[in-house]
Amino acid sequence: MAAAAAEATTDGGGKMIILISADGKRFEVTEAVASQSQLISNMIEDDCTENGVRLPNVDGDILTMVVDYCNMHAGDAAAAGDTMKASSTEEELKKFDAELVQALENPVLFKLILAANFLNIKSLLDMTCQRVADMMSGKTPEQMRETFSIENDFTPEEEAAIRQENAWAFDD
Amino acid sequence: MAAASPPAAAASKDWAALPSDLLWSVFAAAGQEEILRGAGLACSAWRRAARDEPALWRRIDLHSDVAAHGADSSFSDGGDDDDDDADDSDGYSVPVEDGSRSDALVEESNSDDAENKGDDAASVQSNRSSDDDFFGFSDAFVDVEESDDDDDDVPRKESADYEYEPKGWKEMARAGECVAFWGRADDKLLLYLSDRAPYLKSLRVSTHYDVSCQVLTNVIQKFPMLKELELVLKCSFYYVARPSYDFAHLLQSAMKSCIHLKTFAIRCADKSLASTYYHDDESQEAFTVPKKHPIILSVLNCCPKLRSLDVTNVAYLRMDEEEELRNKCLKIKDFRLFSPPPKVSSSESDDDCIGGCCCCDSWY
Repeated sequence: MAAAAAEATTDGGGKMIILISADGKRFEVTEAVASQSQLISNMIEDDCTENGVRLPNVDGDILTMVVDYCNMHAGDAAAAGDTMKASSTEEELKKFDAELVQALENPVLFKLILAANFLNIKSLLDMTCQRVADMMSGKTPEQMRETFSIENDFTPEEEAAIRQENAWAFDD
Repeated sequence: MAAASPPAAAASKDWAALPSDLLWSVFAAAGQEEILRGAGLACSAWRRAARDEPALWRRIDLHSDVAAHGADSSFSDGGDDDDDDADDSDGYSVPVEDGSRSDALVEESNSDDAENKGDDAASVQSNRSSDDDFFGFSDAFVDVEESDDDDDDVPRKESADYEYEPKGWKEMARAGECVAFWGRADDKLLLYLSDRAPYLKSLRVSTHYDVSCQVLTNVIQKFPMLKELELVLKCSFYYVARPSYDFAHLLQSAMKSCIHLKTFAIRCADKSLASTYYHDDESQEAFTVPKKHPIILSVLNCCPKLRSLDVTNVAYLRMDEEEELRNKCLKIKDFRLFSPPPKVSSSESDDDCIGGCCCCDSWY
């Protein structure tokens, strides 16, 4: 099935790898792109990617974003030798990242974090975690629950106790 | 076919079930204040995640003023807090203690350390009440607070007689790995910390009220690793305490255990209040400085590693034996002694006595 594609090479000569999402979508990427994922990088080292890499807990739409992200950032790495190109790429990258992050909302953000964690793509994970942290910023617990659809499972007494103690530390 | 094995299934979209390692990353990015004000209160799973990660709480910084300088500001090489000195003494606002907070501290759901907590709470409790009984300070502090601060929001301390079992952020500090605490403190907090953070290296506390000298000094002795100590004390602390208690003497003995101390600062919480007091002090013979405790000398003697000393606005500390002082101070890089606040309102320079004992002879 994937064997032919997996053995295909790009113009640059990099080996291609097939990623298969939970819902069966297939993504063909270069090794350089795929190995930004530490998970896949390890698999490449262990030589067990010939038949494609099945990612049973990453949906196709999320994997699309991940692959886009990795494509962008792999370009950065590849262009590192060429300073002119690298600098323009850097700006593009920042723009790309900013747009990606800004667009992230529940539940995509949640899934993307899990995917970045699972695939072990540190930069993407940092970025998405930072996005969540930014979403938390300045929110009251109630707003927090609303934003993240979290159910309040404290007893009223418990919550009051924690609140009072924490408020004491910050009172201003 | 290579198939990466899925991680423990997390119900999708369920943020409460975000795996804890991810939650830690998020919390680390969000910062302690966000955790304590919001995220840690969203649900019990998040609270547990925050609480159970000691790395998040190795350095507790609840000091809104220095928050900007942040967790990465290093305290270990002494003398690095120069930048925020000026801000620190100004930036605190009048505390509001909610006297009823203890009443709600009834249940502790976390059974695994309930036992420990019980013991600790008991010991805190006993220390606390003995201090109060012995010195009877609490009322005096409250009175002063009432008359000197025009903030009506300061509730009275209802009773010293309650269980102390933290439910909120203080519980985070329990891991025993805490090396730095910056923030507000009262007696209970200090005792709590001293039981749980034996490796504390940096203690920067502001205590506007409700701290007895006895507790403060007992607690200092329980931190043998201390490298940085900064006390921002309520001004009236000295004056209320003095007639019945010798703070200098206590501090002197406490400092003996701080042999690693590199940075020592003691300041009044409120400069304007401080100058009022100083002026009073000057005119009233009753407020003479106790002659027997050249506290700075003793601190210098006790703490051979001291590199930064800041006692700029504490008139209570004795400044005599100047020559010896000057000699001892040669090795101190950053040295600030008390300089009396200018009598006129222009108060720009009252904190800038750096690099020598230039002002210590001008006053006593």
